[in-house]
Amino acid sequence: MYHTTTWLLWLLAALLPTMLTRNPFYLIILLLAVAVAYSTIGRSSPMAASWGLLLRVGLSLAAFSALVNPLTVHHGDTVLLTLPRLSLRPGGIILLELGGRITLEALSYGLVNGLSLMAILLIFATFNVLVDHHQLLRSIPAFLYQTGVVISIAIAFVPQMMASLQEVREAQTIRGHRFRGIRDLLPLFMPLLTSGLERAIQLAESMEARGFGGDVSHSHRKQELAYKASIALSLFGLLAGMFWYGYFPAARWVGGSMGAGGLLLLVWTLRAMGRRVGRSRYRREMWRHRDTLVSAVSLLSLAVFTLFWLLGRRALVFYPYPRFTLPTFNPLLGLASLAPVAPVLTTPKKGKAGL
Amino acid sequence: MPFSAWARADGPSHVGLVVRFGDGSVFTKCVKFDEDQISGLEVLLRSGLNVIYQQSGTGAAVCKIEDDGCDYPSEPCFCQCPGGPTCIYWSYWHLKSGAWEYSPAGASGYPVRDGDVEGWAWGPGTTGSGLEPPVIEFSSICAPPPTATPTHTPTPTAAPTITPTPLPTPRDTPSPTAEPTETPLPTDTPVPSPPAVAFTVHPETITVGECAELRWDVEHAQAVYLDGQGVVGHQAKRVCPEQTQTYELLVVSAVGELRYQVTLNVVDLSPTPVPTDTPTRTAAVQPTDTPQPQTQTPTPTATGVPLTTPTATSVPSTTSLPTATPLPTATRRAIPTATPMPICTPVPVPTLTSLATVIPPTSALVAKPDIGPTAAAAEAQVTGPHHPLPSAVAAPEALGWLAFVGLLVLLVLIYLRWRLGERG
Repeated sequence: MYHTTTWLLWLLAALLPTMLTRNPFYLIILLLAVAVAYSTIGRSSPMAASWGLLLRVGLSLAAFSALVNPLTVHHGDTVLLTLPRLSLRPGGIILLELGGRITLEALSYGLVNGLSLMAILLIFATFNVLVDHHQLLRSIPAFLYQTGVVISIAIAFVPQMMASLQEVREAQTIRGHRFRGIRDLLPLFMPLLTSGLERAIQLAESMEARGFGGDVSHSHRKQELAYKASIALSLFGLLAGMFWYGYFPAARWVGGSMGAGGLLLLVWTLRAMGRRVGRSRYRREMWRHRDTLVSAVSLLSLAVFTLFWLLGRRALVFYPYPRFTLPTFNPLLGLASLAPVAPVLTTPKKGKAGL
Repeated sequence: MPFSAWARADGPSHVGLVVRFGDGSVFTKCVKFDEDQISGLEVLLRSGLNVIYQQSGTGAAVCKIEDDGCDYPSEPCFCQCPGGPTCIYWSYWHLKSGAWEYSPAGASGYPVRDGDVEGWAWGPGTTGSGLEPPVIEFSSICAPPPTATPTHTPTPTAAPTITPTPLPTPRDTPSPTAEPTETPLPTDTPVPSPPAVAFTVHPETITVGECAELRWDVEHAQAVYLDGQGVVGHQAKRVCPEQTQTYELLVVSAVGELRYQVTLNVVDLSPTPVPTDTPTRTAAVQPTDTPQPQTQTPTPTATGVPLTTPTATSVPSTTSLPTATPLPTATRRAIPTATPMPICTPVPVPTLTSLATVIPPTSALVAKPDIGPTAAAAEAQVTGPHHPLPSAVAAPEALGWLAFVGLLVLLVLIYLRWRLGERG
């Protein structure tokens, strides 16, 4: 439907606000925009069933957070009610105190935290529903081809296992097997294990038949060693640079340049390694006009949030303690949080054109 | 140090609080509470100081007290901790048998009981140590009411002055009983550097109902008082007096007390030219290096500043002698005349011999028959919602909400359009 890169940008644009802001207004808009994206263009996807599950998980997480925060945090000026206290204080130090003063501040903060958790979950759920996983895997960089294979097997594993579990259960039911307790698991489990092993062997054979791993142009031992040394060196430079940057604030430029150097070396090495792997594509993804539109909207939203964050976080923060005040609402940021709905607007209607 | 019988008695519990600010000034307060124990953060909050803290799942971290610290959440709570072994933050201490002990727990998790002394210090520290506040015993902070002798035993450590900083917010009106004490300056002061002071009002003339900005920038001072109220060195304040006012800045420094005045002329369209000046005001040359009596009687309605009894510094290593009796509540306007300022007069800059200081009622150095009500008031502020929830909506806020609702409606429309298009 859309290019994988478009979806990745969409994911970034939807996720960044949840990381940068705790303002409930933007979170609500974001959440609803993602929900609209799912319920319009995502509903027909084969993965759609998982969305409802994640929604339920998100709701329960939000409810948990909204309940636990006011019960455990007693600060804030606006006391709603006072409950009997139950405290846990090993060695005289208050570790946990349930009940006591229930404040509006703690309640609102818990609610907002729950909201942001739910938003993150729903964004990933919607992304899962909308994106083509196989295309996503294909966009893994070439030098990571082994990782790509592992991930694609892992992704295929769960649905295949569910399907084969269903088969085994049906077969056993026909034979009169009834599930009553933990002991009855064995007749289900054993066939599942053997079929899984069989599938693994089958996969390995088919991969070998297709020449997996054979395309890597063989390099000299020395060159292989040089790549490894280069990766180790670049990672060391990166870590040492980060450490230096944080620990010696007086000479930041040393750490900064060390880290940047390490990063550059790493990128160069990985690129050089990736060039040795020849990959062919049978079906190329198409970049359509609507991809440009959605990507532009996502980038714009990312830019707005980053700009607000850099220029001063006051517009983004919501911190109710010590006294609750309603957060402000900036229409520009509100519009930027609306970005996840962009694919809905640009997707052509059914029957008109395209997918 | 003997605990006072007052502290042991049944009834409200008391805890001493010592806060050492970045400039070395120290605030002490006896905080009263009715529970058998409260958290350290609660003590700080009930002291009436302006505290900003970061609340997280594991507890609360104190980011800012009054003007020292970090403005969470617009900046990180430990904004002066850029990494590295040491950083500047509010370290938390407990006074255990005459010495400060770095707190083993966070402020929201540490239980404070009757008779404890809590310490906070803004300064460089690591995880496990830091700049210690000066040792001030419980009995010095929470003096028992019957013995009204404010004998303050000075601490040999760090802070040369004990500068109580009363709160800028009007809710923290200090109780009107002040016990002025006269304390000579220690003779062995280190090389004194004269303070650099700039005190201005802009504009200098306003009409009734308008406001002007008072601004002061003071360097090398031990304490700064605006009309008797402790303030920080660099600050601006909006004032809206209804008649011509003279504002006085008292700068206490190592070279003595300096007073600076600015006058804000208020042009009243209705002819009421008589300014209510207290008779003791001397029409002095401004800025005057010769100290003047603390004469100003600011009207609370006009300035927004609660009428306070003069605050002051007490210089340690001396015993303070009370020279005036506590003032009754009703005679607030009489405060200036009752203050001993004229007695312990002018400290010529080179020959400083004595420094007249007045201690605010919130200070530990005060005989306080009124500590109860003060603490109770502070408590009431914390527990009850003293500021109503924002019900009055300002115009820009309303516009923002309108935009929010508009965006939500837009989302619904997008959804409906899709749904209808699907059907049609």
